[in-house]
Amino acid sequence: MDNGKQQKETRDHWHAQRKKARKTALILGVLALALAAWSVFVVLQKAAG
Amino acid sequence: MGHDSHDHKPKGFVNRWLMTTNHKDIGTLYLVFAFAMFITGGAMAMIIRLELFQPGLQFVEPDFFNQMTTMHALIMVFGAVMPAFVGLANWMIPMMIGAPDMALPRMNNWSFWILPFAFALLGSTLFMDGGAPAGGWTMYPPLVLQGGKNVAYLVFAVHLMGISSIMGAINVIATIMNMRAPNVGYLNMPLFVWTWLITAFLLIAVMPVLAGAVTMLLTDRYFGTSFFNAAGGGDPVLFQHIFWFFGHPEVYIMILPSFGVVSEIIPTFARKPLFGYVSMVYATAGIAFLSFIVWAHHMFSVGMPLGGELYFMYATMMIAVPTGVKIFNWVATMWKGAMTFETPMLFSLAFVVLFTIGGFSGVMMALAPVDLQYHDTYFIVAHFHYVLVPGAIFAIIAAAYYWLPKWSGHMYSERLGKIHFWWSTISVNVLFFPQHFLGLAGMPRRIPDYSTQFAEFNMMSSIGGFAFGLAQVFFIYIVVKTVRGGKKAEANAWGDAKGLEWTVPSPAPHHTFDEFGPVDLKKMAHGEVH
Repeated sequence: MDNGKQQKETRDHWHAQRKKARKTALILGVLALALAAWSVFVVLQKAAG
Repeated sequence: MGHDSHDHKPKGFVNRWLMTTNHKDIGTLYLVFAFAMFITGGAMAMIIRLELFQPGLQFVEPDFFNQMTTMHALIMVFGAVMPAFVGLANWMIPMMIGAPDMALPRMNNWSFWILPFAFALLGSTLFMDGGAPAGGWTMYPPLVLQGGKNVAYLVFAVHLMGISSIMGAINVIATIMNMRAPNVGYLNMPLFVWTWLITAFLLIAVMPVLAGAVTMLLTDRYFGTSFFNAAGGGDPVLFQHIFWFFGHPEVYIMILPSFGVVSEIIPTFARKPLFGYVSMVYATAGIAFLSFIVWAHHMFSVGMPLGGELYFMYATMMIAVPTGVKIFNWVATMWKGAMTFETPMLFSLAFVVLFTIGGFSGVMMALAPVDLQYHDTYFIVAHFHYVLVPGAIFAIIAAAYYWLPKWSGHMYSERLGKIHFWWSTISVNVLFFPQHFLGLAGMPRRIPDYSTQFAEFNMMSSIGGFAFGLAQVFFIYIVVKTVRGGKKAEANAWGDAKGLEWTVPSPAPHHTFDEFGPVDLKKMAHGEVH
């Protein structure tokens, strides 16, 4: 495989992986926010009950 | 797979360090920051031990003493131990899995640069009217809310630390899940990577809960809510439940990466593959799971139904099972190995022995009836310092010695390393072992003065503390000396250490594994096993 083609393949691969990583990060970020909201909700529920 | 031998380091301080997105530079920033915080928190510990050297009030006011115990803990937990492990993760995880960098390099930069601001906020409270937070690192209301202006600063500092930790954890997970070299499966990963993957999930699960809890403290203090105010219908004990739902997994956030470090070092110097690799992974996951369901063992003395006490007692004791698996596996790895005792191995061995002592006292405290006697005594202080100092901090020091040749390109002085090891190991035991006896005799924690019956053991403990503090100043000298020069390190600094990090030159080039392709699994730390 010539050098230019290999470089492009490498670049494309890591580009695709980073794109997937951003999706992973987004899901985890939403999960973190949901957990923060849940901890407040638990206290509110106890206060109401 | 090859690696780029060109060193395209950005020129100038701002570009190299402030704007960096390079995982190695960010790892270095985290490690330097963590060490600065370790020295700061350590200086506060010296003030505490100086005051406790003799009975009676000698040097500081009781309120300032309480500020020191609170700030020492907050700085050591959030400023020293956690950032040190994030630094190690940044440096090593991409190199261990064949990735060119962390998955989200810009977020990585942000994760780090939030931290100095968080600690500037927290540290600034020392100069305020009323001083720094003095209600303990657990921030229990109503005591913590009686602080002066520092409550808002404390809460915002914890928010910033939490945001930094969560972003760091997200980056670690995204990197491990998406950036491994193509033929590296999950069960080929080094144990340090595995322990960090599990730790990162713990961080994401519990840091937001802490953020929620401290936000409610803030609104109780400044916006008239009564989440934790009994007079307004709230419940201060509820805060303790929420805090320890964060706080117990937090203990494992600080210790699981230590297990990972020790699991890399022991096979190298025993010259044998890690015994029971898969069981180590399951044990780590088991400990992480159990960490979520044992929190109320910190609160036996608050009072709870008998069924609750029994449940939390037995659940806590179960943690000894996966932890025992790990200790057994480290010992079995060494069994009949061609062992040598370089400094990283010495610190790892001390970790195994001394962490186990801390583990045993932990099992003692899990017993609900006897915990009522230990609660809030120096026995507790001895227990958690055994797991955190010769536990987590010895693992960080072992990691620093182990990977310093890879980071700096130079070998440290083995003679100086061994002096540092014996100095630290003897002094840390003189410092913390007598505290077990103090606690059993009934000396309460977080007090600046005590009955004369506790004088001898406190004096011993303080002497150990000063010696341990000095040993860490000596460690700075060793590290600086190594970074500035010394014997050149080979790519595989330990001769036949396994792991992809040992396939790149020392010091590691600024960019590694730029080319995409399969790696030789035989060179991976645990690749041979499967």
